[in-house]
Formats: sequence, structure tokens, C-alpha cells
Amino acid sequence: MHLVIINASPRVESKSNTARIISTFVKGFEKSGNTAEIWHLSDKKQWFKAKELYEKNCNILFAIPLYVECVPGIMLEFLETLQPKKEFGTKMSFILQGGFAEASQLRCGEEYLEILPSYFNCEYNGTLIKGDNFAPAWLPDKIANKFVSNYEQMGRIFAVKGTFSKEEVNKFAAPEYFSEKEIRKHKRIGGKIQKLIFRYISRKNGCRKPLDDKPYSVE
Amino acid sequence: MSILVLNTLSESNDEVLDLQNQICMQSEGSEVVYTKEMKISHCIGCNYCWLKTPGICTIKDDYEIIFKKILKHGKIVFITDTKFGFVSYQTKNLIDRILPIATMYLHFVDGQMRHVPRYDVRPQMGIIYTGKAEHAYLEKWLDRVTLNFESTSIGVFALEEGRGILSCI
Repeated sequence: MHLVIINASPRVESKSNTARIISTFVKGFEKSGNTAEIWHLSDKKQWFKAKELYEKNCNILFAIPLYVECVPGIMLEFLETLQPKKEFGTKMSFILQGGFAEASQLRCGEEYLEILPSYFNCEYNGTLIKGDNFAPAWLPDKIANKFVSNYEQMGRIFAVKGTFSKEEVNKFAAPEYFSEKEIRKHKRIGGKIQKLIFRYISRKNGCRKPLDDKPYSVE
Repeated sequence: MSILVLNTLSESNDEVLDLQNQICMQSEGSEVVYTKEMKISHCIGCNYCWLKTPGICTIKDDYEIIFKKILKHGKIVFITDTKFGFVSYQTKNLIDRILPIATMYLHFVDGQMRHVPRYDVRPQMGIIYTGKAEHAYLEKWLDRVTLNFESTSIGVFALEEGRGILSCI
């Protein structure tokens, strides 16, 4: 199978968590002799080629960071350049990733992706969802790669089955919600550790303001 | 509580103009902003508004004008075209760029993780759309969007039934 992957992240490729996820996924996907090519919407010069490949290929995968509960604006803008396929049969698959760790946070975005292919006369071919992907862009490469390493196995499975099955995705994306015990633990200690990490990252990036600074006045 | 109407339509007909006026008459200090001619980029996902320049978007375009107005008004009504059953990319860009309203810090609200709001404002949001939409999905989506900002949805209305929003704001 040849897969055309469109990275719908607006973030530049070198800092894109979605790009990192795609590369890892492709490693697994290509193990069994499949091929894939990747195009990035963050680079407007790649839009024409991505559009052309959408028209000529019948296996398209959009890899998407969740932006305010759905796909980012840049992806909607790109979609406006596409025409519905004349013949039914193109499979549209999705990888949807987000920062919050619970799978339940991605369900609203997933629901839209179930609808979207019909607007292009394409077949919905499943969505691989997973959260807890905020950190990699802010971490050294070695640690960041570990964060997303489990996508390689999902690439292998996708190569064999040709689709994302709900059952496997749900297992991969768990937990759906945190347990009460985990929430209590976060309130007790996890939240404090998170704050320290965020402050450390911001300082390292030259930020000298508190992260809850209010630069604009509210009337 | 005043209302900010954000009109992202490519064209506004008399029906839209009349409805906008009626919305603004509901509350003193309300205003309409037409974004069609404004320079507003998509969010580039840099997270600088959370981790490098807290509360300030790194993109220097006309969005700052809108962001300040969002903080000023308690209610926002988006008037939008639809594409693929969803809001237009112009409207989605406005909503994606609202992130500096929240901080990077996280806490749990009703069993789900949320970003801690940066300001005391919790703008309610409503949508009026033209064209064909996945109406039930849009309602669900707006509920989720506002939940993220610890606010509530005013509702989603097709333009033909747009007057329905008047009893909700």
C-alpha cells in the first residue's frame, strides 16, 4: 500500500509533535514493504503537491493536532482547495493527537473526522487517537522520541489491517478518564510537579514573567 | 453583560445586518466587528502564549484587537459561513487564537483536565451560521469549546432561525 500522509499541524516541521509521531508511525508502517510520503501544511509551498497527491491516490492519512476540540484552522483552509473525488473508493484515515492525557478529550474531534470524508466522497477509514503529546517539542530528541515510540507498533498494525480498529485504538488511547485516585494524586502532588516543570521550561526559553501573568486589563 | 458580534462572513446581506442590530440592542456597549478585511493568521501552535510570553500571542496581526474585545465583553456571537458541515476556517482561526485566555497550568474540573483561566472573564459563546451545517455536531462542539474556558454555550442557530438567539442572550 502507498500512503499519502498530510501533516495538518501549523507548527513548523522541526518543532511539530505531529511530525515526530508521523515519522515513528511510518517506521512501523514501512516494515512490511509499504511506502509512505509525508507533506506538511505548515509549509505553504507544499500545499500544491499535497493537493495533487490527494487527487491521484486512494489512501490518504491526515495527521492532526487537536486545536480547540477539532481540527486546526489551517487544515480547514487547506481542505477548501480540494474537490470531492469523482469516484468513491478513496480511504481517508486520521491520526489525531492532543496534549491532555485522557482519550475522552479527543472524542469530539474524532466525531468530526467520522463525518468529514463524506464531504469528499471518500470512505472513512478510522482514527488513531491519543493524548499526552504536549511535551515532546519541549524535550531533548532522545526523550521526545521515547514519548512517541509506541506509534511504531500502530504503524505496523495499520500496515497489516489497512484500517484503525476502534478496539485497538481505545486500548492505545487509554485512559478514557483518570480514576478518582489519580485525580486526587494530581491534586496532592502531580499538579505541583507539573508547575515546576512548566516554570523550568519557560525560564529555559527566556521567560521572566509568571506563567499566569495578565498582560491585558479586563474591564 | 455586553455582546461582541464577530462577523466572519464573506458577504453580509440585509438579514444578517438586521439580526446583528437586534443582538446589539439587547445590551448596552455591544458591538460588531467585521473580520473579512482584517489580517488574522491561523494559530501556529508555538505555545509561546503559555510558556514564553505568558498571555501574549507571538503573531503580530489584527487578532490582538479582537482578543482585547473578547476580554471586554461577556458574550461572543460568531456569525460564520460553513464548510464541510463545520464553521469556516476564518471562524476557527478566531477560536484557535483565543488560547492566551488560559494559562499553561492544569487542574481538574468535573473529572477532566482543564487549563486554569488567566483572567476572571468567562466569555459565553454562540454561533449563527449560513449554509449547511452538521447542526447537532456544532452544538456539541460549542459545548466542548466553552467547557474548556469554564464558560457556557449560548447556542447554535442557522441564520434563518437566528432570532432564536435573542431569547438566549
